[in-house]
Amino acid sequence: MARLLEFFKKDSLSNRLDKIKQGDRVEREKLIGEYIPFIIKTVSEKTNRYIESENSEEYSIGLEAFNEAIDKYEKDKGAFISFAQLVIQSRITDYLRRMKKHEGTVPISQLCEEENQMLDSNFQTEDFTKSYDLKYEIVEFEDKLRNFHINFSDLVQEAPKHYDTRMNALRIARYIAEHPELKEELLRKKTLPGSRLIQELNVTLKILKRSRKFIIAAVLIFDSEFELLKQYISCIEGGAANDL
Amino acid sequence: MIYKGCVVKIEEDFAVVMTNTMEYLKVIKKEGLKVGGQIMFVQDDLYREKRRSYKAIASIAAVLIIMIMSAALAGMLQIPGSVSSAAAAVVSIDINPSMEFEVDHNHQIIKVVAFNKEAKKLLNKDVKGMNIGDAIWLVINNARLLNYITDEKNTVLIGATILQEDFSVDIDGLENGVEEKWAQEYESVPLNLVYLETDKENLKDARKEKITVGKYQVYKNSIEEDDDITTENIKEMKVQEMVNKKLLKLQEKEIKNKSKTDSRQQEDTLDEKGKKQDDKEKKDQEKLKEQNQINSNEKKTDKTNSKGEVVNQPETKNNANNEKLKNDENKKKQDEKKKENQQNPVEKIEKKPDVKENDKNSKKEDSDSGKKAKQDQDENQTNSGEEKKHGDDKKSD
Repeated sequence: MARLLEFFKKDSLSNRLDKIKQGDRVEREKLIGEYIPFIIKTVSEKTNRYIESENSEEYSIGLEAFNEAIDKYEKDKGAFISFAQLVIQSRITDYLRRMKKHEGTVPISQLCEEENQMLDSNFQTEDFTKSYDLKYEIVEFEDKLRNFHINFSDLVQEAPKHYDTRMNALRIARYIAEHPELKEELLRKKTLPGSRLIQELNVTLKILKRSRKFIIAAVLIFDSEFELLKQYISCIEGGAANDL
Repeated sequence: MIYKGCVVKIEEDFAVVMTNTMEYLKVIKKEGLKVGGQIMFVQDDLYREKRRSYKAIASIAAVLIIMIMSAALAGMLQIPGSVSSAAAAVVSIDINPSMEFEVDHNHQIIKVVAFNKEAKKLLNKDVKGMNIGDAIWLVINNARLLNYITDEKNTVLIGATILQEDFSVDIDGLENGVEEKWAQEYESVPLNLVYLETDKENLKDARKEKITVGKYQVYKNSIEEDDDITTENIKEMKVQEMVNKKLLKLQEKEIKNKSKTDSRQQEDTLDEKGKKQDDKEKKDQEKLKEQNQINSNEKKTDKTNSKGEVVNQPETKNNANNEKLKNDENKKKQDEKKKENQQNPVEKIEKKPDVKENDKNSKKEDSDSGKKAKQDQDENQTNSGEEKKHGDDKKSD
């Protein structure tokens, strides 16, 4: 059955490629969109680095290479996926080589190394401070979690796996953060004010128990000066609200 | 599925990422990771703990297995070779508790092996460094106190293996010492000491089978007659059971020689005893002759024998060491003796009760039995005189 499905898929993939070649732009966008994880994976494997964001050079090179692969693909070149992989990898290799070459020019300017460093730091100021701040916030966040005997590995294991459950837990966390007496109780007793939450938020004890650490972590973020982290979570909440 | 997230922590072999859906995930480490950095990643980048832990568990298990195996191997290798090099002899005691002592040149115990729980009970004191005679007495005394020796079960099997040729155990002396003490302490209860000697080969085999040398010798003696006997049976069997099942009857000859007794026949009349003693005297003489023959046949002189300390030693040694011919001869003799025994149950009576009675009687200064006792002692003396002679004969050989 699976083989049959695969066969259909493959068939439809080549059909779609045909369509795209005939100039179907919508179909092209759709195909690229579907294969973004594949592109990310291939690029990331080649560079052995994570892609930092959608704006990063590697990512756009990967997208371009994939696009190029669609144009250049012909049926006698084997499976499309392996062909695309090859193209992406070679483009990334080109890019890395270019970068290296660029780096290679640095030693000449290393004659005045200090100046160079200053230049670098001047160029990167904004990015640097931002990531530094975030790092600082995260380290402090970790310290706060330690007071509750929570570490990030615990959160990995115990945070609710389901998206809806997580959003619900975030709602609970925000509720606690917005009510000073609840927050006070949490910080003092190091436990969730269970009975009040159950009454006021119509949640079950099971949820509170299961996502205890996750909720505490979220409360700590809401209740802090971690502006960047707060923004981050607000974005997530906003996304959730939009979804609803 | 694309995950986007913020690196919150970098551990040794993974990084923790808080994703844009507020998930906390572990990802594999790649170059250029830093806390606070944004990354995009896919399913394949997720750190799979299970795979790792499987490997870890597997490797730990493998190491453990190897350790256990090697330990077991080492243990197996040690069993046959566990006799320490300083040991001059191994002496075993079996009642139901079984134990072995390794004895050095000074007759001091250097190692104790308890073969069962009961033996551990008996060895309430650390006997290491004790004289072997004292230790045997201690064990027997303890066995009595703990009711391992009673009126019904009164046989103690003592096995000995001489490991170094220039060493000898004065078993007669030991036994007499033990018997004297026994008589002093527990007049009313008879004691039946059976002494067996084995050679080094048997010690090795006995160690393999995990039984005492004494029991192993019983096994060796009895397989010739009864194929059903296995070391397992012997291991489980109490010494008294062996006597009851006549597995130890081969030793009756020795018992006789050594003037041991069976308690149940104490009610015999004095006349019978006299008769019996006469018979015995004859028998002893016969035996000595036989031995002389054997010894003269075999020109090799035995060191222990030349010292004239133990009568039985040469014979048992011969049994163990010599060619089939002699074994056959011995067997025949033994068979004859057995027949005789069956015909005359009286003969089974041995001297031990006499000695005891002697003690009693001599205290009372009663006439008849006292005389008997003296007679007995005389007999002993004559025997030992003959032994010495016999030893001298050998020397002259």
